[in-house]
Amino acid sequence: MDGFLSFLSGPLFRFCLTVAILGVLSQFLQNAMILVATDPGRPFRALGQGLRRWMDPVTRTRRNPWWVEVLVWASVAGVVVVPLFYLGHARLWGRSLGLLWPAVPAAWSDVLTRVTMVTLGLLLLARLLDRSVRRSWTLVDWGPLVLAWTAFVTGYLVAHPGRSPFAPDTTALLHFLSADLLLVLLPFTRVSRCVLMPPPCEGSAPTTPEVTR
Amino acid sequence: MKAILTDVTLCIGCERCVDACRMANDLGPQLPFRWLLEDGLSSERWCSVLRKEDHFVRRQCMHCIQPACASACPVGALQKTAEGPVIYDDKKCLGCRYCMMACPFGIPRYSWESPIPLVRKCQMCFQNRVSKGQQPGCTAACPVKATIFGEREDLLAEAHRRIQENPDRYQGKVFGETEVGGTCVLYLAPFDLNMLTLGNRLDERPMPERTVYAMTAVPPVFLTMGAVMTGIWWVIDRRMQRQREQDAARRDGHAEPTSPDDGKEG
Amino acid sequence: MTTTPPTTGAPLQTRRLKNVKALLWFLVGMAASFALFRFWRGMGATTNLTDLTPWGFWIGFDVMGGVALAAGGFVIAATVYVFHLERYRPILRPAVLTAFLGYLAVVVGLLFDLGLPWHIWHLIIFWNPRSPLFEVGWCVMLYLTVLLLEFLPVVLELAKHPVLSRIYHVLKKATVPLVILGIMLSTLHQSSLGSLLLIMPHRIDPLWYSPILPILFFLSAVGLGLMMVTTESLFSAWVYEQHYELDLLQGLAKVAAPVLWLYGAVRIGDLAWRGSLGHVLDSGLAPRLFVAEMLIAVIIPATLLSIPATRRSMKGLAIAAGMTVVGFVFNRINAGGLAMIETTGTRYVPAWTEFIASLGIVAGAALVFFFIAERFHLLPAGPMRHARERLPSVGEFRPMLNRGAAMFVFGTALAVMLLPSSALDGWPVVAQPVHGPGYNDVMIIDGNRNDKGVRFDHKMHLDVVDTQDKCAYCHHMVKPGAHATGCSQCHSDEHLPVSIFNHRLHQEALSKGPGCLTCHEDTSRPKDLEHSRPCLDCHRTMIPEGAAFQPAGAPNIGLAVGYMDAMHGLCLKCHQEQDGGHAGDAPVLSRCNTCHSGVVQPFDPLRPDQRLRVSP
Repeated sequence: MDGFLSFLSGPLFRFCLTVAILGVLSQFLQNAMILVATDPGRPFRALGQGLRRWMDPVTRTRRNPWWVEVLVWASVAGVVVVPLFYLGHARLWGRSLGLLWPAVPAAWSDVLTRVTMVTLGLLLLARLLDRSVRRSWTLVDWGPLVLAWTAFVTGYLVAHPGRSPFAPDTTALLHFLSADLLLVLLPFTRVSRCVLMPPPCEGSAPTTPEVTR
Repeated sequence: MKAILTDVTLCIGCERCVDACRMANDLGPQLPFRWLLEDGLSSERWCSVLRKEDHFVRRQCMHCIQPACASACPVGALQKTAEGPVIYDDKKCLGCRYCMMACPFGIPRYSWESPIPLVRKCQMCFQNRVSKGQQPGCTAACPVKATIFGEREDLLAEAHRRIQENPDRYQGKVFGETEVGGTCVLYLAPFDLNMLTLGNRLDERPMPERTVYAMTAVPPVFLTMGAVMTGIWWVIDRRMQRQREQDAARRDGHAEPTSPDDGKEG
Repeated sequence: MTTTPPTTGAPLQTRRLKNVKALLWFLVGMAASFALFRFWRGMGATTNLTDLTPWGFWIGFDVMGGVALAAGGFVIAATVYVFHLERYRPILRPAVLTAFLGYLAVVVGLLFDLGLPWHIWHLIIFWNPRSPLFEVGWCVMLYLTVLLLEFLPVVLELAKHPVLSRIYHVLKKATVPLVILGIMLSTLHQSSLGSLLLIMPHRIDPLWYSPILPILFFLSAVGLGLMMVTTESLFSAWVYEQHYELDLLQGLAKVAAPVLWLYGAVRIGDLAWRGSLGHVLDSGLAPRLFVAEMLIAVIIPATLLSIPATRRSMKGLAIAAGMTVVGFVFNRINAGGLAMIETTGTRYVPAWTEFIASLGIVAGAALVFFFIAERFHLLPAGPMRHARERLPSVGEFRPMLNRGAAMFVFGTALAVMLLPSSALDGWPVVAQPVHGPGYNDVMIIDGNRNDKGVRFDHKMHLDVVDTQDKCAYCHHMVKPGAHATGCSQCHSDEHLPVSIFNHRLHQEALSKGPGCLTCHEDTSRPKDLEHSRPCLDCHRTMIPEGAAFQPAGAPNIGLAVGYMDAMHGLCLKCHQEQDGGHAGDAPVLSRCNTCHSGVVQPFDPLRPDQRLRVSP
């Protein structure tokens, strides 16, 4: 088991990370080329719009109460900070890539993890309850959300084995598997499109108008 | 020409020379086992003490009079100095490692562990000691004078004197006097010192001589090939032109065909 | 002339071509991620090269093999331009491009292999004309330029800019002088690759080492060049599903057969003249390699090519040409590497990363070949620009990348996954100071430094070892006259975690009591360390000093330094005290100095496996 776990967090993690980074990068290039080919006038403006829209995780189709905004932004911070700067992860980065960087205090990452966990869970629930979403979403859309939520929940349990209902090895296995899968699937899911596929130009309607991720 | 004479029968194997070499050249910790060979030399150890029967044999660069490494190096990073030592210039080196392949004693080592690797070997402390009139670190450190430094002629004379005085003690020849055309590191030993060579197939012919004939043939071959090729081209071209002229003449008044070099490619 | 009319714009992006390209992209991807770590962490951490074998697979295959494979360029250029054999013109352009890409691959391969590749330009300013490598370097530089100029018209003929078309016309006029210069340079360095080996008689087996190596290398380059052009022509026709230029290729084959026979005769004659022919029949690796090489490269293909029927058939040509190509690359690898195994006793086996780097470079060259073939008048069929694939509209989501890019990403990721940890972390060498020894009756020895000790009863050993030289029995294993013991012989598993638990001994001792249940919690649980009684429950004296609780009545317990530090500390201290004036009498340890400034890295709990790597 130990051997398998260290394979998941070592070589396989490196594989998934490389696929994620290069895959997203080549998707980006591919999309940029399409953009330049189809809209030679102002490709960079559209790219910039796409990036700006991506930075804001909630579309302004309706006003959100302030606490929703805070929660969403905290979970965005969690998605960025925890995988990189949680103490255990910082060590993992050091071991698998030979790059060591400072970690955030454990209390911070703990709070961020909880917030992200809950927000992702709520988002997942809201998607599940929404009939139109249920009808239009496919595995490609559900996958990243479910995996991200699993990764955060199991990660929390790994860090707090006392609160875990499973054996530590099982939690770790789930955590590593979901994280690796999330990474390796990233270039092939709509998540990467949100990053890289700029919003449609005037005239052509988007296929999924209610995209909110 | 400066040289080192090592008398194997006197060496007690204390390895002071190894330590002194490390100090004199400011060498780092020994490399991981992965890059160590049996003989104990590495990019961080330029001299080592081997064992044979009941004796110790010090191993270091032989400083050949006609060094294979210097002849092989494409950029002249290795040079034979007039004083005797064969020295290395890391500013010129490409890292092709041809010197390591050429050395009949297998001496030059590489700092494999580094992303900016260099060729490392004994330089007879040329820059830091010998050029300042001091003797190399190793010979200065030897507590029993088993390894000594001096002019090559003097050391050879001393070696032959020792052999004459104690014919039973030594093998009867000075290792390095004639091997590969002579070296600046000489050995007196009671046994054959083939263990210091690589592949065990040395003779008295200097290594660079084995490529000299091929290298001197380069300019003539180059020019001959050019002349022959141009000649063939010219002869055939002329013959073809004449053929075309004849054809044209025979056709008498018909349009001349296009020359073969135009518009036929692709 | 051209045998088929140009089929410009024909949709030729066939399945076969796509698959071949995807495979090539995969190899390029693997090599690309290897390249990153090769230049980041250095050659030592990413290859298996050693001081005994400083030239490995890269020199044998990339450089020696690559230059030989590129010989087709000068051979065909000579045929068409110098000998005016116009009918070979259709295969001229691909042959010149193959040669150019081949040399480019050699240079790229060399950049991998050079320790300081950013110094490669030193060849231009620092001269050593006595060195064959100097000459090879210069010839490769010049010939690469010549090949570029020879090939450039293919690209420029489509250019419309007046300056470019002016250059095109100048180059067209200079073709014949360029070709002749190319032949002169090729002659030189094809043979000089043989001269390169002349300085290593001590390394190379006599079956390969010969004073006429330069001539042999040149002759084989001519034969191989013809066969390489054949192979490349057949391959590109196969990939693009075009018809095979058999009538031309059999003309080449007709010339190649006598060249191969001549090479074989000179090779054997030279062996006989030097008196090494008998060595062929010896046992061992080298004679076998020699026989295999001669069969694959010369005898079988030359026989095949001498039969007109085989020469005319696609299969026969492909087999003969393929064998010659493989055989002569094998010959170069033998001469530049495998023929040195027995003479030097090396244990070098190329790391998979070395193979991958070479394959990736070749794959990259092939992709460039395809790129040019599809856009310019390279092959007899003309440019093969395929129909543009439909671009997805902007809003449309396409999860799949295009096949080549996906394979590139996959290859890169796979290589990153498989790379050894040395390539990822490098090989940091950190000095570790040697501590003086501590001495107690009982010591806790933490040999593998995992903070778990083993109780060593020194006093008991002292009592038991009842010989004259008690201390020396363990501490001075190497004394004058004794057999030398290298450090590694005793210390080979020093840092490996060792299990000292002897199950059978416990079984025998405890069989009278409650049996298994003395230690194992419950027979239904797994029988492992986790589910057993801790050792310390019984062995109370295995607790180091300063631990949270101390068993009553323990003997004089002290924490010992690691085994190596203990030994070495002892040696140094004693030797320094003892040898004043009596250096000759003192016991001598073999090679203290090799290790004494420290080999072992300090133990880092974050990288517990780091230690293993440093130890023998």
